[in-house]
Amino acid sequence: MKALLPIVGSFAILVVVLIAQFRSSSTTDFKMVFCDVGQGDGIYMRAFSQDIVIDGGNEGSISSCLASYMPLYDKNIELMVVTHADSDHYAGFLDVLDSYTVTNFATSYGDSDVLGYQALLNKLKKAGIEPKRLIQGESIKINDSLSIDVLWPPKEFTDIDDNRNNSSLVLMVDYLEFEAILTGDLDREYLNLLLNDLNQVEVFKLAHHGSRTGTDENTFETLRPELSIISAGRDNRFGHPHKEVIEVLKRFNLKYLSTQQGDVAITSDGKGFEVEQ
Amino acid sequence: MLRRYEIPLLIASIFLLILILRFLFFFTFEEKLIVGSDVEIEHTFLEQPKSNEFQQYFYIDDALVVLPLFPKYSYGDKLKLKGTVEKLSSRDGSDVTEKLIIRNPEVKSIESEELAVFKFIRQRIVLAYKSILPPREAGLLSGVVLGVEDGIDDGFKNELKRTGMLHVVVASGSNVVLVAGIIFGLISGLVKKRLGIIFTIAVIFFYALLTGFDPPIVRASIMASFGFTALLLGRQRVALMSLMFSGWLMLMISPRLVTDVGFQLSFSATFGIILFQKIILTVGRIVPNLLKEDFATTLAAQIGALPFLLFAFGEVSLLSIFINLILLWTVPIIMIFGLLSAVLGLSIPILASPFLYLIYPLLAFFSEVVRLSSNFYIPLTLDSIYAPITVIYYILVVYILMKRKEAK
Repeated sequence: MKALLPIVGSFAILVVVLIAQFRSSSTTDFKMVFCDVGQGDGIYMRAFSQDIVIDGGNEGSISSCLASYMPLYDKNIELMVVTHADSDHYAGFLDVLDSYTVTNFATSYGDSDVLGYQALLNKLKKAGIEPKRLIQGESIKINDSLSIDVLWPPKEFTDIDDNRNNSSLVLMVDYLEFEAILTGDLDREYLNLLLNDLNQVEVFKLAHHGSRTGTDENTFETLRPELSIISAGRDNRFGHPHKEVIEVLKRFNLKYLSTQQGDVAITSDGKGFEVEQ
Repeated sequence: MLRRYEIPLLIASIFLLILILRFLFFFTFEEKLIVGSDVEIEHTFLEQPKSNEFQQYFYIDDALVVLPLFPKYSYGDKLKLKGTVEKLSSRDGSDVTEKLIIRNPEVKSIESEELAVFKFIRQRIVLAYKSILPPREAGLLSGVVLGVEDGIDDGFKNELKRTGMLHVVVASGSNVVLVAGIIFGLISGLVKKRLGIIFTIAVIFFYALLTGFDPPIVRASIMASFGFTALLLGRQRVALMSLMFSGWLMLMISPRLVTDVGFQLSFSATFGIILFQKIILTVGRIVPNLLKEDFATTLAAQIGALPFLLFAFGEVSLLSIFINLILLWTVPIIMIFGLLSAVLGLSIPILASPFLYLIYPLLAFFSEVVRLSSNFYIPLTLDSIYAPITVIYYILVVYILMKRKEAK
């Protein structure tokens, strides 16, 4: 009987873990996590028991973040999005597909000759999933209170071979009164074209890992985000985030967090939001 | 006239001399890669190449081979590489080591039929683990059961290294010996001894099949089979001789093995079991009967392999021994359930899930202890005195053993 003790103990712990995870995941609050994926982007969202992942970071980098925030029994991702075909945005999805089933996949257009990205598309195809290509003006409705609007790229920017960054999807996540803008790697000259139609937002993910090509003071002046997020790796070789960008954030007295210090988890009830790092 | 004890000593010396000659011959005339030369090499991956954000890389002998990030290569893939050998230098152009590099060679994929079945088996098992468990725990389980490190990310691998636990996930003799010990321990009360031995050996080779006939596992399987058979038939001396002979034969065929961590672990773990398992069984009265055999086997293997377990991976923390003590009891349980779910995962994957859920807390416990204790890393630099310490350790072990026999 004593020999069975570890197994019985293990079973008891399992039951407690599952119950605790079920209780915490069945709340109606919206959760958005900027995962620490090293140098890259990886954003996990959960609401109404639906799991959405926007960008997957480099290879093997997002799986542990998903495992931390998704319940053990939930192995289905309802929507997977890749903003553009750079490996620090999609490669992590290659092994996510080994661990999770994916129901829908959406992406931009600029992926024509990227070998690894084709491998991801092939893997999805084998699982019976065809990519939905998104362009400006479209919207993905998750339910009555949560939607994801596509702000970029317009149709004429869907065939860019020389700079994939500018075919990046820019997405507005809209949960009741809470709004977050996710910018992929779009250059600031194009990001600023969008500003006329935008107002103050709650959360803003800086474009291109805080590079100075991604964001400038015009962006912050219009959006005045309550929280800015920099998704970059520790001691990365590109020097992201750029010190000029940090200076602008400081000058505007804007609160910002970086995934260099770990996952940034935001919870919103549709009005305000709380942040944890 | 030779005395009785001198005959085996003489035979052992002759064997040792032949081995030394073989080493001298092999390492003197070994073909080496030359800087600046164009080479054409066939390479079969027995483990997944490592990768960073930009490239994949792996070693062929002393040369680092660098390939683009995609297409991805994995266990069982066979390539023909054509490139130039260069000296590995740092970013500022200065030479950093004696190491060589073959950068972005021309690559041609060759169909490797002989490994295709094993590749399929390994993939199926790893996927079964991944589809139920979180990645960290799935990687840990693949490591413990199959000795594959592919699913373990660099961060976790580093933590395992810092805590002296990396040996648990390396394809080595410890795993094989553990499987053999567990299986025999479990069935020895149920069937006759001889039948038990045959069954155990069959399981050892089935296990080798599950791991894709990974060379370290195959070598360990041979050693464990010889050692176990003789030991279980009650002949400790024959068991030791079988082990020595199989080790000798392997080194004669491939002298390079002498520096192979897996080989060192297999050999020393089996050595430990042969010498210590019975003693521990008689001493360890505190352990519940059902686990007694497993406990004795695990502990004996640990005693045998201790210097290699602690130092083989280049660094050791002062806390390693304590962390090993806290965690090692989980390994046989993880192994049994992991094996069961591997077999089920191959046939009807859904049946594997209850077993995987059941060991999840143990895996999570293991991984959390490793994560937390890796923060308290107290490095011990023993590089220069590692060899003398190992020798002293084994002399002490044998001395204690002989004293014990004399006392009887």
